[in-house]
Amino acid sequence: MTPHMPGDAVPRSVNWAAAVCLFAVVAMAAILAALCSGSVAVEPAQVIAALVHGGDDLMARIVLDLRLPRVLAGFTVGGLLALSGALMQVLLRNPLAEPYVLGISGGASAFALAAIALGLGSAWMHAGALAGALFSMFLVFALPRAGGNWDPLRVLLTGVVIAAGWGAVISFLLAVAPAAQVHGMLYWLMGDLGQARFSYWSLGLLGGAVILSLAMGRSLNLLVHGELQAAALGVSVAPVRGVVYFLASLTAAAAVMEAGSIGFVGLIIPHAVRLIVGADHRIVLPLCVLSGGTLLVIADALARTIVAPQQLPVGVLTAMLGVPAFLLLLRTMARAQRT
Amino acid sequence: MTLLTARALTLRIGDRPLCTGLDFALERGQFWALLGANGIGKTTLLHALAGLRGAEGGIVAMEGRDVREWPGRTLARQRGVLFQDSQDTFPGTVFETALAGCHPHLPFWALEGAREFESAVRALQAAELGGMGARRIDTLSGGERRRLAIAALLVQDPLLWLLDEPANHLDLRHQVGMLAHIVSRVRERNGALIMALHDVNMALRHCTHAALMIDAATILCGSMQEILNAENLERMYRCPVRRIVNGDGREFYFPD
Repeated sequence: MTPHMPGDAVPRSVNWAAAVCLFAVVAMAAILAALCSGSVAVEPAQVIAALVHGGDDLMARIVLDLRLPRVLAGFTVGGLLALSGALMQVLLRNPLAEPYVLGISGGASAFALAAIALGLGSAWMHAGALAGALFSMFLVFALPRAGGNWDPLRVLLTGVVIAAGWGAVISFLLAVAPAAQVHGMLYWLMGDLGQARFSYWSLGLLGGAVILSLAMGRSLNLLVHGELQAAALGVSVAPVRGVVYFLASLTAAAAVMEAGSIGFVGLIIPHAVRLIVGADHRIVLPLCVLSGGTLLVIADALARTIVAPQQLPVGVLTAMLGVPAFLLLLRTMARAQRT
Repeated sequence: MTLLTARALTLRIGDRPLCTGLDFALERGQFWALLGANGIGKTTLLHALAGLRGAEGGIVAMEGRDVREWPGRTLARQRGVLFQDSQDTFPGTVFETALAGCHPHLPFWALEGAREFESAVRALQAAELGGMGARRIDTLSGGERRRLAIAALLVQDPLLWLLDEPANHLDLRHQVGMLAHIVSRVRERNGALIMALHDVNMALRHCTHAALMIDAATILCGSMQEILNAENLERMYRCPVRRIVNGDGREFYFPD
């Protein structure tokens, strides 16, 4: 007989399979809603028919050629950002870490804006964003190590300072750029899915990163308790840290390259998910991907419709939706814990 | 049988030597107390013995093989460490935290199953945390958090226990109870234990051997009877110490 006392047999805070199913259903509903909405309203039944059978009529072409690539790109970018934020928080053992705060998005923006200001093509802009993100990531994680030990707080501080530095570079570029380019630059800065196109490459990266981080799930849980504690339980700290660093950089760079600099998703989504399902990264990470994707899909649908025919940058909407929702959740959960 | 040996072990932090040329052997069935003044290097020595930090000279070997060459998870099934304090950046539940101790016993893809859950429940009860499994660890008191760290170590179930001030934050009853439980657990497996302590009387109560860290070059190792006396304690703590023998023959040391 198992020794048993009430309150002990709580293997999981929530049923993992049920949580993943629920979040996946919500994600699919959001994608469906996003496919329906736009300058031309399409009925859900028509959307589903187009998805299942294809077809050459106007509605099917709008759904399949115009909206679907953008919606899927939005979902992928949201998932990448949330995953990257969650991984950086583990890496730095700090709830404030995310690509935006650490200057990763800033580096990407500075390089991409330079490409726009110089009037170079969009291929250059994308390449610049990727190079800027990776360069910034390298700076943030290589500079503090020169002194010797790995100190998460020093890495975070370096990131914050580097982000401020990129901010100055960005202001400089905006000040000197030709007026014709400034509008495009501002949209890029606020994060915009207007140019984003679905690519199997990003989706593959997202899938691969999720699988790899799930395989390291228990190690990530232990790493949060400190590197010595993790090492004492048999985690090979240096390799795991290396892989997490690599995944966090690559996912952030891919997201920024696709959609410009979108803040808050990487910060808010992981915390919101932790508030709901607890601290185990084997459930936190997949739910981050699903809910990050969902948030961006909804935000982009609103960005396309609320002041149509004009389109808003999606970064504005993620913050407008995400910040109040997160504050509300924080309050509700704090109250629930006290009782 | 020798479980852990240190040969010509030299540890330094920066330029400051903490121990130079230490030779030490820890056999199965032995219980060691590691005593010394604040900042003398007890924690650093424990970490080096656990293979968590490299040595500036010499070698630490577990069952004849350099601890730094053991694969992490295999080593973690051999030795467990209780740290002085715990970091909880993203606090999970009490149950999850105890369950973490089974990490070295499972391949990386495996989920914890009934056996691990049962072991965690038993460890929580041993640590008198029964019924608190669903609590978030940031709501625990210092002593409860300490007992939870010990529960995770019970789940890990190592052969050699390295404890850094295990009695920290514990009330009198739990100081005695938790250590007695650990000691009986070590006896059952014919393992061994080494713990850094400040309480000489607790060392006398639970340990068979002691290592007194007086300075980097002088670390006295031996059985309790050989080396634990007022003279050595005065030399180590640089304060007068009085020995009192109880009616039943048990001895106690107090600052004079």
